[in-house]
Amino acid sequence: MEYFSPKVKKGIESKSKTISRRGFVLGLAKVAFFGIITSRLAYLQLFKSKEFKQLSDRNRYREIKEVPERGVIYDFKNRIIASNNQVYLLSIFPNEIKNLNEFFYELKPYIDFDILEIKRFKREIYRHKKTKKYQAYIIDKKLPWKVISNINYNLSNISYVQPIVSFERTYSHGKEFAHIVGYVGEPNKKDLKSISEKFLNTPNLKIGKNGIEKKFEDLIIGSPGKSVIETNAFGRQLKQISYNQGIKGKNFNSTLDSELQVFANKTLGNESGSVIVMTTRGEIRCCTSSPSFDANLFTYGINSFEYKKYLKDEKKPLSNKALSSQYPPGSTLKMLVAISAMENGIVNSNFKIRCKESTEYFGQKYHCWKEKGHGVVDMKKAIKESCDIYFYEVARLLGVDRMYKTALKFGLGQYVLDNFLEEKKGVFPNTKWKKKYIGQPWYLGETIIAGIGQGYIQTTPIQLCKMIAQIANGGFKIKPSLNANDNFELGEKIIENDDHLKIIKDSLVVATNEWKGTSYNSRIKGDLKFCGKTGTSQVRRISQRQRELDIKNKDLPWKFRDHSLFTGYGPVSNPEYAISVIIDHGGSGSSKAAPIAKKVMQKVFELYYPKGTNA
Amino acid sequence: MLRLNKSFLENFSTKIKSMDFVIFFLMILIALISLTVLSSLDFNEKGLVDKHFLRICFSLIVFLIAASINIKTWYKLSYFFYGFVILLLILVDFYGLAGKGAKRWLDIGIFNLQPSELMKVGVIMALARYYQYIKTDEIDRVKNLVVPITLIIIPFLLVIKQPDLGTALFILLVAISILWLAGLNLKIFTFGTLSLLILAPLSISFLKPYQKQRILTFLNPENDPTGAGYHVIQSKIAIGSGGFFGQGYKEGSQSNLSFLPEPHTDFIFTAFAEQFGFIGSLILLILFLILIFRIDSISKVSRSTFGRLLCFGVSFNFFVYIAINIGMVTGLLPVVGVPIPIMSYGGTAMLTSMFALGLVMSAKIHKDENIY
Repeated sequence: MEYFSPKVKKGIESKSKTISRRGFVLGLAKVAFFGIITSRLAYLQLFKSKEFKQLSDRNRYREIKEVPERGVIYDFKNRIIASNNQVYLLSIFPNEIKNLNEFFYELKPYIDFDILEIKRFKREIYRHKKTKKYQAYIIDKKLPWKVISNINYNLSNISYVQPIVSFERTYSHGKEFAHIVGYVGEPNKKDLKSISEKFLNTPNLKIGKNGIEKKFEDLIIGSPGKSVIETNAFGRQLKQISYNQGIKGKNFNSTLDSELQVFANKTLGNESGSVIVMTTRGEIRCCTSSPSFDANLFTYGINSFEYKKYLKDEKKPLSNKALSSQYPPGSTLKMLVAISAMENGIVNSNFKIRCKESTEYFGQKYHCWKEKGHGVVDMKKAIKESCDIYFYEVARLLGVDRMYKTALKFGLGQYVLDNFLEEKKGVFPNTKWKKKYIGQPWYLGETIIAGIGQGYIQTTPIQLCKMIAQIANGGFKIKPSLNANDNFELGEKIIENDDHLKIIKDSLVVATNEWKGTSYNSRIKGDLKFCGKTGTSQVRRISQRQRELDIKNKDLPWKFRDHSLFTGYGPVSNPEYAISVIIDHGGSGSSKAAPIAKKVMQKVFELYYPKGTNA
Repeated sequence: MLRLNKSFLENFSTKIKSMDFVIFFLMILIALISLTVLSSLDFNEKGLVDKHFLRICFSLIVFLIAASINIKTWYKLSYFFYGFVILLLILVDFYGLAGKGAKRWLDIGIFNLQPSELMKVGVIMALARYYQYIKTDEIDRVKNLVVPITLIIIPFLLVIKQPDLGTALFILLVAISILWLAGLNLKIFTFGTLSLLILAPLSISFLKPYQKQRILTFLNPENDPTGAGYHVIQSKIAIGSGGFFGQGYKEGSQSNLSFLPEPHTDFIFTAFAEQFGFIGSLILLILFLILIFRIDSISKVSRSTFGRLLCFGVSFNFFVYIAINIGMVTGLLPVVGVPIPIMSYGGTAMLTSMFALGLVMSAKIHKDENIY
């Protein structure tokens, strides 16, 4: 204390001493403060330097990714199904922009926005900022090249924007291929989590949402390009630091046939249903679902009004019925039941039964579809005329577990394609299955109706097509696929005895090509013939009361009517193509599905067997 | 007439020869560093470096003139100079040029004069003069406090009215340091500090919203990264990214790509530190420290109380500027718009700094002169 307020003596001397002493104290304070500043500088420049260097780089470098061109999808004759158009768009990073009004004002001399557009973009940018903070926003206004080149030229004077050359997916048969080829769209939150990191923040990135676009995404999508650009504090671009060109996606050669696909879809018309054609080696030539929609609508995001309309439609235009609708196979299963019974040595082809109108097991009545019955039937006649009573008895003798084993060999109740998003697995029940999933023991009555493909059995159209193809090719296992580069060699033999196969094939030939056969009306006259089995699968159980009232199928509301099925192959002499047609709630198999199958098969013959050549 | 001129020149040259060359060269060196930093920045405004160079030259002339004038003459001119700057401050109120919400400048043709800058020297001179004749044992008397407090309060209020809180507080701080050096009893300071503390919450209610914001932002700059805290954050990034050796001349991305606000005035130290790193900053700090202590050493050899107080006042003034500016750009202190002496781009600041050093030089040259 003495030092800081010294007892000062009179006169100049003491005064100057005071000044010097106090000046010295100030000097100490100065040194102390310089010490503090130096240590602060050391902290910032030595200890935290790395961190600040990163922050400084983040300030000035912008990474701009370029969306790669998707691979083109071809049909098996190298006709384009899906390709890309070049478009010019503007991308921006919304979280850089401080004032949206100023931003649009600055763009005004270059782009002719109207007020409504600006309003919409502002709203969208605001929303985008909240949900996809680090993703570039695309101003989805297609810009003519003149505008883009003008902007590019003046880029150092315009803040925040980046013109991009991008690609938009176009489908040459948007409607006919909509389900199987699928479509692309902006990745949603869930997609962004599963997507590879290199695609994050790629402006205008569209990814495959379903169908082939989704399944072969990794192949088709390619790899994005990347450029690093130095910008100043106002987001103006100064120079390019680095540039990596992206890699174009690989082209995809599918097994599909555009001409057949378009024809089949047209043939289905307004019906709700599906047509699948595959070679007996498993190349899927046609896989169409009806009603359909235009996949091109989804590229830019379909408007919600239209989307809701599709969702509400009871015919479900958005669903890929060929792969995802599950039906009881009905009478189309009868070949499989017959094969199973013969292979297991339960019956032979001479096994006969008298078909009256109905039969009784354990006090329960089971009806044949034909009111007066078929009389005495053997296996060939039972398949040809689709006698229910015959197969009730065969099924009873065979039992469901043996039937299940054969079905498993043929691929029923199992995925046909690998990892295809929309495909459903279906169900082929057995006693264990029922115990596990329903919790009840198996009843014999259930075996009996399983003999005619009813009950718990659920199959998809592509499973039925695979099944018939495996019968047609001589009983060899196949692995159907959409990828033309896959191996389509026949697999192991699943029908051991060729005599059994011959009986089934012969029965199918007469079912279509002989009078009284179920699909006789849909036969193809001429050198090339086809054959197949109809099926009618019940959606509801017919009660005794209804049977007595004799309610006709067509009098019921649409969604309670029977499904109409047909599976077959052709040409008969040397089977190369299998087909399955299913019309939802179309009534009997012979009335709806078979005629469509006939038309499509005629087209197949026309396309692959030009006049003069013989199968 | 010719003879007179000749003798004047001879006289002038002998005087200059006896000046302190350490201070002179430090001053020139720092001015050159400032030109280097300015030339490293890409500017939209052309000719900034040339302008700055001309101002340095002009200020150097003022420095030499101030140095050659006898300290006795400066003593006599002190009140006149003080009064003149007060007049300029009043004129600013009427004819001042407005910028960023404050009236601070007078257009005098060559450049825009900022009288509040000059006042920092003016108040030192006036107080130093006042204490020349006050006896040490009478210094604490109330009667002897009236004049210095009036000398301080008038410019303080005039500058606060502009409004320029930062500069006003500077004037107050430098003035108080002179009162203390003159020997004012410590009790008075204790009392003064206490009453200031009590008044502080009250005075906050008189602050402009942007001034309040600055205080809040200082407390937590990361709270508002795009708003008021932006400057400090960017400045810290720039300084930190310099590392030990710096990014190199003209390689400062923060200062050149406009991330750093005002890299030529208040944040010139940041621009320097980004390019020349810790080592450069340390050297610059040492240069400043030598300059300050060199001024203090002149104070000690000066015979007159006026000279001693003047030198201490100037050195403390320099210290406060440097400390607060660097404290601000490194995020230690709140953002107050203060330049760094002899470095920042700004006419009046350069002029004032060199004029003040000229006064110090005059005290050195005429150290044996006493004023009775």
